[in-house]
Amino acid sequence: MTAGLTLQGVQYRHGMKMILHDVDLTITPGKIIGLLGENGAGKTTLMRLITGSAKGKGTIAINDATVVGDRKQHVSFTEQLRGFARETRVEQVVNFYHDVYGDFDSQRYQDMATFLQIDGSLKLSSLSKGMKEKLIIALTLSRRTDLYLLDEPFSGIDSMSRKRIINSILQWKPDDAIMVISDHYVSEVAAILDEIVVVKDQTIFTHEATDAIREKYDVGIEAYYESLYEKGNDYD
Amino acid sequence: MTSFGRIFKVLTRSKFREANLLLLIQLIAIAVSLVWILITGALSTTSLLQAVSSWAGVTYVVGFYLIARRSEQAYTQDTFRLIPVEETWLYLGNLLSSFVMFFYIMGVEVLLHLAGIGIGWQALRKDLGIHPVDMGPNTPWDIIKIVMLVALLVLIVIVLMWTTITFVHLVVSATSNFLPSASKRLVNFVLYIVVIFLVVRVAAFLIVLFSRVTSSLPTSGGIMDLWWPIGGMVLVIVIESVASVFLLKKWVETVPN
Amino acid sequence: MHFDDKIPIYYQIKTHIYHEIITGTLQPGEKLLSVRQLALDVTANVNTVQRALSEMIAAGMIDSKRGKGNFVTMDETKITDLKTQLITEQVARAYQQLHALNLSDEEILTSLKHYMTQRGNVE
Repeated sequence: MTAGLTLQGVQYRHGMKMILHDVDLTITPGKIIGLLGENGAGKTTLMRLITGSAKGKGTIAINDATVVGDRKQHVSFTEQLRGFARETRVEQVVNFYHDVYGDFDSQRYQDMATFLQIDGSLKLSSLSKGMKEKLIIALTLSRRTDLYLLDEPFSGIDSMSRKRIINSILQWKPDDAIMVISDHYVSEVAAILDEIVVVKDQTIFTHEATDAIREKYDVGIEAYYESLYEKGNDYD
Repeated sequence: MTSFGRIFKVLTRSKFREANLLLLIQLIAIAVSLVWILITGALSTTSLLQAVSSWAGVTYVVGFYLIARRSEQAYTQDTFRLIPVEETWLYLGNLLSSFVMFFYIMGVEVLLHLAGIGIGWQALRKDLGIHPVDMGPNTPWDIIKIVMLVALLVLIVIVLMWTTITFVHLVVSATSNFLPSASKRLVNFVLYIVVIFLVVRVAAFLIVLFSRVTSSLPTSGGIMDLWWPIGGMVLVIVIESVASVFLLKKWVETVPN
Repeated sequence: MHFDDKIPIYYQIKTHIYHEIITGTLQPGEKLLSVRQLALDVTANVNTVQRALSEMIAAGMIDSKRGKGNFVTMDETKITDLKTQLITEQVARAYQQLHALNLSDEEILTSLKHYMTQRGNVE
């Protein structure tokens, strides 16, 4: 039994183009991970490979579940609700989640919706970008599962709401669950991350504990991350 | 894992909303038609039946399209593909919900026709009295058998159309993963040609089949000819379904965020 | 709580709690918030808070009672020692920085005294 998330020899091409190769990654239970990289580096692709939404080569296991069908049970992803008609109301979306995910906790959703001030009677088409993102986060975190993948959860969200979302993450993450937060901008969440994983040059360039970076190099996470993109960085 | 019942429920619900909206629009169209007939002064007891019949065809075609569109979304949107369920059940649940929804639209149309017939019954009886239907040597049981068979044939053709649309859609989606965009266009082009060719062939075949059935109506032995094409179509449905599920498992990705 | 991104977060949390113990915000024997509540309080990760706590427990500043929670040590001498230690650390830092400016010990003392008189020596 290997608990946590394991990727071995994962490779992904799209239209003959190599997107990711030789991806090996092990994340132990309970960790909050920052998945960093430039836009288009393959952060979203990596998440989609884990959920099974993208089809690549290699082995991916979440708490020993390797088959895509089984894996879906163990992962909650911030999907963008594109399968719903524009006039669908927020509460109908919540009902859908309640119906299809056995681990969806309605009480937890209600708490979070109150905390993030989400109005259930609104139609999806009338939600602002930030409000929709808040709804997606609340839905994603309301499942009780082993792995949460938050794909750029802070885009289009004002700083007050960011703080609330970060608080939601800290408050509602089950102790043993892994949370992966992707962003191309790290300063906002740096303090809550256990480790960072940097996707660069079509593979995993760095995987390191945040406090180890601070101790070893005496720099902030953001400065460290930026230095990876400068020629001849001193950290290797 | 999510149960088949729940998958079926959510897949049906989204189609149900659209079907109801469509039926509402149809009712409005019928009402407008009746008002128009009233203005032109030609309103009679059979007007409702006429209005219902003339709009029913459009409703079936649009309904078929709406159901197919919703159905295809389930295969390429994360909203549905992330549900923890085997692809086989997702596929079957989706197909079954499409079938049930089309049946629902058909049911409403039958009710509307019955209402139209009820209102215009007196006038219709007079017409029928003038032109009595020639039953020939057929017993009422034969007539029922033929009607049932034709209904079965229609439903199978509809399911076949859906499974074909899905299969083609999934092939296009799967090839787009590993082909560069230039050859992608070529594959799609070839595929469309093949599909159009097949549709024309099948349509021609069905037209011949229907005319033969209706012309051979007096000799009930002609009905037996229907079993072969029905069996053939069911076989194609099964093959396409198995291939589609395989494609879903191996290659078909969802639309990225 | 605002963190300095350059310094390990667990260390900053530890320092923060030590400050509270020394200044008396946290009294000897007082129960600490639960790990999760503490994490929310300072906006940090549960694992990081846990690490800070483990170090404080190892140092004997916090007593962990199974099933009951974490408590500030009742041992007053330990708190006094901690205070001395933190004072030494701060003084050492200031001293080193001034020393780096090529000030002699005499000059450092004079400038410190001068600074305190300037401020009116009220604290």
